[in-house]
Amino acid sequence: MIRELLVAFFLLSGGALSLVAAAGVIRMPDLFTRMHAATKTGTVGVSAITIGMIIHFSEVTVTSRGILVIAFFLLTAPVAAHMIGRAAYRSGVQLWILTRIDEWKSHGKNEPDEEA
Amino acid sequence: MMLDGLSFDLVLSIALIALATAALRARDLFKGIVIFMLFGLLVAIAWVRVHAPDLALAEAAIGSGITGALFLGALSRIERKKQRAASGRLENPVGGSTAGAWAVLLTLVLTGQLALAVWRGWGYSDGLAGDVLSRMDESGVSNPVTAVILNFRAYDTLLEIGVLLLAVLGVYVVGEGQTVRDRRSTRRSEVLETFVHLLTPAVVLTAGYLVWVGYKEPGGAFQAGALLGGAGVVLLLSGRELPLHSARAVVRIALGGGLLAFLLAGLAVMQDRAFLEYPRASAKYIMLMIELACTVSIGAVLTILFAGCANLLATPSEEEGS
Repeated sequence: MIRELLVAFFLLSGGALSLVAAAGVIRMPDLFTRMHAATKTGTVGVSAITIGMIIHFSEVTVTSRGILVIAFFLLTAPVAAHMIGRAAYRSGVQLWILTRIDEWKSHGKNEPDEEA
Repeated sequence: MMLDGLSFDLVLSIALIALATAALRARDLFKGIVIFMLFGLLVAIAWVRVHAPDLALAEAAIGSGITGALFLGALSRIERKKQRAASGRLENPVGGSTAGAWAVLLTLVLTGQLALAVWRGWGYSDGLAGDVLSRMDESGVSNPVTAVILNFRAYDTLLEIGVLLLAVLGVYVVGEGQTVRDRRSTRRSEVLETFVHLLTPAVVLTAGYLVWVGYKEPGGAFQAGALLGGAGVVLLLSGRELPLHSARAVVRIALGGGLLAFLLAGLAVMQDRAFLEYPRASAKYIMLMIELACTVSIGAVLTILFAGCANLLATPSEEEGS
């Protein structure tokens, strides 16, 4: 019973987060904020659904693979988003008109890579 | 329960048709490719729905991932040739022409034949599954898909590996075997490099696992090879120079190894059996050896196919996004 509730909680919250991500992709004003919505919420959403799956099955084989799925997702999604954002910034995609801070620009660097 | 599945399948089918139409009708080729990749992901889900996870893995990795990368590589090369100045994007040539009408006709004929086949075979929808399952103990593995691919119908797979090898030879002929110089190597991203550094060993490990697990669960040389190919593509994208010149012994061994292992295994059993008819006792190990060699070959093939694109588009004028 408790397990079922937990599974339901994680599945539903994962689904809700993914829905928020979808809404963000449609509603956000520019590419960068849209990607922000999709990546952050998407990552947490998928992780939550996977946790729900792990609890539902409660088997060693499923659990280990589920943890790997989450690990891969946490590793790949942010890097992919970073690279897309970087490529977009470089090829001159416009920031939202109300954007206040553009650190790459305010540091006077045309090359966003060297900041690290 | 059944209704849930049905509504999901309906939504999936409609989405597939809609995406296929959108991919074909997209005015912007780039948009078309992105939609095609999405289509590939949904096709993978469709394979899961018909209980074919092996195919789903292969479809997600090859049909959506690697093919998409190849398309994007080809597109940027075409655009560069068109000097990308004018409107930037190419128009999708499909649609509105007589070619479109012919395509529709062809699709209708094919769909009709498919429907006829399904209609006729309604009572026999198991196909050869029964035959395969009744002879599983001869195959040396417990995953029927692997049994078919590497034992019962090993001939087909042998030829597929041969086709992949021929495709790569074509890439080398067209690309004149120049060394790969990635133009992006001058613009490094520390994030991406660290990521690749962390990810590549994990991917190789996962590929090894997929080959090994193929004897009892979904997995095998194609899925593992696709993973390796993906790792190769990411390595190339991160600006790493891979030794992909066709004159290198490593490359030749990696490329030809799969076909060679297959042929040798097939011939080795011919003393008292037919070609590729493995003895029952050692079948599992023979298949595993073949699969390992094929995994390396498939990974190398996919990487080089992509490198062929990147290589060709990195011709003289290097002005990526300056």
